[in-house]
Amino acid sequence: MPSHPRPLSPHLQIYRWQLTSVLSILHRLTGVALAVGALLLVWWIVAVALGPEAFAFTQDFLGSIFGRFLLFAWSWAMFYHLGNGIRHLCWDAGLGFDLKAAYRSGWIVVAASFILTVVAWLAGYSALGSTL
Amino acid sequence: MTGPNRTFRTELARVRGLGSAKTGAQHWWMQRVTALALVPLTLWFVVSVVIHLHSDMQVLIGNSIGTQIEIRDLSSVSYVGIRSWLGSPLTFALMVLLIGAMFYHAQLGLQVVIEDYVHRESVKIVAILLVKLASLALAVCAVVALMVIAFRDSPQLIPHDHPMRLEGATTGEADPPCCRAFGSPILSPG
Repeated sequence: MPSHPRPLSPHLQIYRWQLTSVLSILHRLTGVALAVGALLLVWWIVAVALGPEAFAFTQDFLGSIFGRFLLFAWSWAMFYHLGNGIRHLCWDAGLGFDLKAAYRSGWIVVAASFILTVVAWLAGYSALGSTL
Repeated sequence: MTGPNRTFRTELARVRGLGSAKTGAQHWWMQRVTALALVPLTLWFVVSVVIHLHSDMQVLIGNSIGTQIEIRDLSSVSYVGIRSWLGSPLTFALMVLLIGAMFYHAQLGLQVVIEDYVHRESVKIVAILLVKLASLALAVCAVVALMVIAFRDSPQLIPHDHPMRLEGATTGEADPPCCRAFGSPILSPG
């Protein structure tokens, strides 16, 4: 054991927040959230297999305010994880590694995640033809 | 081999490049392979759900002309419509691929998260095993449900004068009239 404890790194409380690290943390968080959301997809598929009653129950839950909040949050998480995942795949291919490119692609991913979420929900609601 | 051998590693182990865990870069590589597969699959899922909502609601609006029906939310999505969409060969195949790639990808990712944050060896191993077994079980569950949807006739899709239904009628087990409506459950109590 060292006689003088050295400061540990990373010290998250001291670091100034940067886009690159925030997006990295978000990638992990959305990944875990989507793994939980996969339960919902399985539940929905099983409900369809079980029959109209189970399906109606599931649809009622998904259509409730809380259900729609979950779906909205998960759809954003999905679009974010998808976009940032493509960003990671580009890095794996050796593309866009310099700082400027990493920041630019980061902002593109953030913007795309929100735009795609809003577009998907507008498209869904235009099908229902109803107000929120 | 000349010169001092500074490693205890055999030449064969070095050539195989599988490391001490014997899996080499497989975890990293499969995470990328499943990620690539999930790019088109997730986009397909979102787009086709929205397209299905549109076509389903067109049917609903068509059926409700001249009636007072003005229910248009997620609970008015037709069961028969969803069932025939999920049961069509293309949707069935793509859904199985989506479920497979998704749970494979998810358990690889959750494994890394557990390895990073859980430092007690026993808890770590148990957590990783649970994640892997639960992912497999859930994926199998979803695929079996999809097979039921694709291959087993939905009771709602059998006309009520079909021999299969009339068999029940001769034994006095006919569905009550209230349950004969299109799209409503036929499972009568008892």
